[in-house]
Amino acid sequence: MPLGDTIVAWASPAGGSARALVRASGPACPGLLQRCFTPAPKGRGAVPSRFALADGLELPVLLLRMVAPASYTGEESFEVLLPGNPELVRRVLDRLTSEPGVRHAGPGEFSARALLNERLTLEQAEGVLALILARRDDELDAARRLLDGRTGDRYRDWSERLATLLALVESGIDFTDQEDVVAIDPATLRERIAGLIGEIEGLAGGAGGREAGREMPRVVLVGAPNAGKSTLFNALLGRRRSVASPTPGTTRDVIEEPLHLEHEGLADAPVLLADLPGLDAPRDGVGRAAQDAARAAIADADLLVWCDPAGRFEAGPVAAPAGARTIRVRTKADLPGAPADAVSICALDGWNLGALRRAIADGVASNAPSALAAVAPRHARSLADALDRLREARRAADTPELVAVALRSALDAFDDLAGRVSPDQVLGRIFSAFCVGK
Amino acid sequence: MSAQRYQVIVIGGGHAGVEAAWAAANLLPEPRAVALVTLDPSTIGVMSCNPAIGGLAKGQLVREIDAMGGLMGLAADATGIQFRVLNRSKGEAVRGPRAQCDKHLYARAVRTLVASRPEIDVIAGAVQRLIVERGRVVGAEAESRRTRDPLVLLASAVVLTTGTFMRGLMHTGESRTPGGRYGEEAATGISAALRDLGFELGRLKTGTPPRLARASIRWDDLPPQFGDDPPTPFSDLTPARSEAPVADPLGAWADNGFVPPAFPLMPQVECRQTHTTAAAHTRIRANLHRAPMFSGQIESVGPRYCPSIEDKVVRFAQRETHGVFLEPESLTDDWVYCNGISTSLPADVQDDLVRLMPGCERATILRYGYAVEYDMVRPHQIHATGRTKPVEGLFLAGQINGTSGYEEAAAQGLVAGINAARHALGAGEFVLGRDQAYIGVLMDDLVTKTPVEPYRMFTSRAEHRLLLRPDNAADRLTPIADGLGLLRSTRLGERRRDLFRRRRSLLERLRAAIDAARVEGEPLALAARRPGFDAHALRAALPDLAPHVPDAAAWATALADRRYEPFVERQCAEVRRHAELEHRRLPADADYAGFTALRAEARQALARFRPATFGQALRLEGMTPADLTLLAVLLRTPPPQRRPGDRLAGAPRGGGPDRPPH
Repeated sequence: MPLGDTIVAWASPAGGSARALVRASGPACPGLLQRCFTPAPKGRGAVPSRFALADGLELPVLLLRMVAPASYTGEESFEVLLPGNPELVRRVLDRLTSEPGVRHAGPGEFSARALLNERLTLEQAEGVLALILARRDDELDAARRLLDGRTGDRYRDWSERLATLLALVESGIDFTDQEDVVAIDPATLRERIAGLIGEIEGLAGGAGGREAGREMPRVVLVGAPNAGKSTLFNALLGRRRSVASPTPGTTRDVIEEPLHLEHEGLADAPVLLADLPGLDAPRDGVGRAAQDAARAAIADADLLVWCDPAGRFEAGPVAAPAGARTIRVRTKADLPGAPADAVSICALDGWNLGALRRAIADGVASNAPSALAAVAPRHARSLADALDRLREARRAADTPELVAVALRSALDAFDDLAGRVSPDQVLGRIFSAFCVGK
Repeated sequence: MSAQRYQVIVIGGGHAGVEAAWAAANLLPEPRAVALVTLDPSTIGVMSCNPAIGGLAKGQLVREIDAMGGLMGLAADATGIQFRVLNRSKGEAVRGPRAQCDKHLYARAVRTLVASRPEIDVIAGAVQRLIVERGRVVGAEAESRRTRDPLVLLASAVVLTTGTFMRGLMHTGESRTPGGRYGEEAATGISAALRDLGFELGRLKTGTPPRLARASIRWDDLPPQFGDDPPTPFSDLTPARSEAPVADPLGAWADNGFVPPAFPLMPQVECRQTHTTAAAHTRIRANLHRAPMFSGQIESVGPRYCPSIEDKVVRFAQRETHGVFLEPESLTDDWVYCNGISTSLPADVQDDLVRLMPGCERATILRYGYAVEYDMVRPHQIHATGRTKPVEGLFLAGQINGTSGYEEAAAQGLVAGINAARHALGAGEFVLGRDQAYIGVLMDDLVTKTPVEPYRMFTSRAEHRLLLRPDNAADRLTPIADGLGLLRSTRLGERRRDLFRRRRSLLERLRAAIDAARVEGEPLALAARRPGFDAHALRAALPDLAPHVPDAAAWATALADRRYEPFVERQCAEVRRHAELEHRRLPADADYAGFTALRAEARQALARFRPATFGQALRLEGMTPADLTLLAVLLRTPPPQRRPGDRLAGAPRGGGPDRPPH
């Protein structure tokens, strides 16, 4: 409960209604007003305004601004009255919390701030207290109704496995002077992290489970050497960023660039487009490093674009990570007979590139928020946090102290869902698994 | 009977006591400002167990103590006979510098350091009672060990460091001997005195392995383990390797202002490896009923991370062998420490256990292993400054707070010594945060956790471990130590400040160069993040600068800063997010039992620990973030006002949470 943050919350009852109310309080409020609303009121008062959503849509709203200390919390704050569509409310909250120092409020936190800033009397506080307790019970009941008991079991199972994984990494750091301790090897570690990511994505939804604005969906071009990936990469970007040549194996490193896609009605948040070295047997040390980088990028992908000039798409180069879709693209399209589910393009003259851009946008958008996000946004947020940290852990699997930090953060994300696992409990797992002690 | 007046009294001359006296002397530069009372002045600085300093996570503590002007690193550098950096193959954040020291020379080095300070008055005495008036300590009553006369020592601040001596009881098999260390008697009066003052005491156990005569071991037939070449010192004051021959090394060290004229100063030795055998395990199993740990003779809890050999044989029954390191304890005597077989088995079983190890068939045991049980004060009764909650002016440090290890003890001694001196001066409290130092993690863990075993530091206890690296200890802590005045009263302090100024300007040059350079078209700052990019590669990438910055430590820090940058930035953001929680104080007189709206578990935790801040409260077992929100509502605490000295006002925060350490 850091009090220096700015907090936002959906203050009206959950579900559809004619009007919904979003509340914000904290030092970032004046900045939020400036950046998200046109016009923004200069002082205290109510004005009709427009809220800029991430995709350029403007939402008509009624805005009430309160200036510190003359507000409920005693801080800078505002309230937004907007059309009562849960999806719109969610996107407004996403937009607000994408700003630095802004987060979702904890239960009763507006009132706690009011009290700390001496805006409420003790008697009022007792009323608030009753309310907070009621809300916590409500939440628990709601969670119980919305999620059957097995969901909780799954949280505990994930938390348990994360703690074990962390213990294995920590033992390779804190007990390397012990003869009995064998550190987990990076490949096994990566595999087990990937397993957890896949399962959590299954519940939380793939990219959609991720907090808006935090990370761009990753779209990765894959295929054999000289399949035309770099040419396609440059064509999609509309400029020459990757060196394309007829020599197979020209691309030696992963190159990433943001790509903007137009798509009717759906979020046009940019995607991160990655060009990879072609996947084949490494010839030398440099080649092996490039291959490893390529595999790591594929493991992190939300969408694969599989390029094959022959249009045969035999034996996928590398298994796509769980939750990621694959679009098949027949590059260098001058032969007939491409399969029906592939997009044929010619990157050199731009033929059919528009269709591919739409397919990519559809592919990313189909990773939409899951049912969990709708019924239990708090759970979805925690799982999204855990997923972000797990992906980071997978990328850092070769560096124990970094993977430990990422796994610890992922485990922390389960605090509210499965109970806290303290560092001492992690150490306890090490002592029970290994004979430690010189 | 005349009363002697001091500003600070330190009771106990172990690793906590000497560090406390040293830090207090640094802040109170007047003759005889600090009394150091010990049962036997000739045992000051003795290494009771393994003659090694540092190791994983402990090495970080030694680096931090050194960065704050402490003495442990100085003594270890002067007397190390094997230096090794553990986890050398891993990143800077988790490397653990370690040294095996000559145990006689180490203790002598510590005694020489203490004797060099006119501020410290060493007194041979057995403390019987603390003099407490209206809840404030005003002194201690002791019996002189020379004259048997009663002594009255007066001071407004007392640091109590009893180690394993408080009602110490040693066990070897069925035999029990009162005492805190082999051949030394226990401190008996102080436990009762503390109980009378209302303290809740606990009892812990620790153990030590047998020591062998080297001449009786087939030493050369066993596989060796060598130290690093070149070795890495602990102290920032110790110069890089040099080879100047030294006739009387320790004398030359003292003459040189306690900076080694050459490093390593002592001849370096190697260890040998052997192992226990299935036959020995069988013998141990057959004699478990005679082992105090299993017969019920010892009821207190020992550490899980340092189990006795009988513990290992029981808990890991499938293993037929356990590794043992044979470590020379001294250059001048024959003693060898058996790292790995701490035990309190009867002597005849220890004989068999040892003689069944390869190479030790005819080994002579010079001292049998033993376990020692001792009283501790449950640490929920102290603040993170080391000061006790029930008695004003009384500070505890070391094993009395339930920790184990020389380094953990010294770290607490430093904190308690600083705070005792500040208390005597009427200055505010000094606390290091979890984001500033392992020392801060240690103190915070002590005051928020219920110890179930002797507490030992591990890097995994530090959530900000990428910030708290051994290489940047000076960047984090030397400015703070300087702000406190720890480096202003001695030539050592001046030297440290000069070296730090130089390091800072070197680092600035290096960082600027790194940010400007590119390798193969890629910014160097990014290339440095790739796995396998080491200090050597960094030097190669900056060929113009390399000859001008010879200091390897600066290169290591510059590289680590860049390597960890994205993670460190997030950790710093996290620290900033929680800063207000950490600083917002809880009232000392809150009636937690009356807060019936809180869950019973949270209420009990708050009432027992009486945390100083909201941050500490959240770390108590049984507290949830929702509990804390309720607590904030219930307490209606006013907005935070940083009290001067709460975290020392104006003290630079080094690589703390205000910004990434650059």
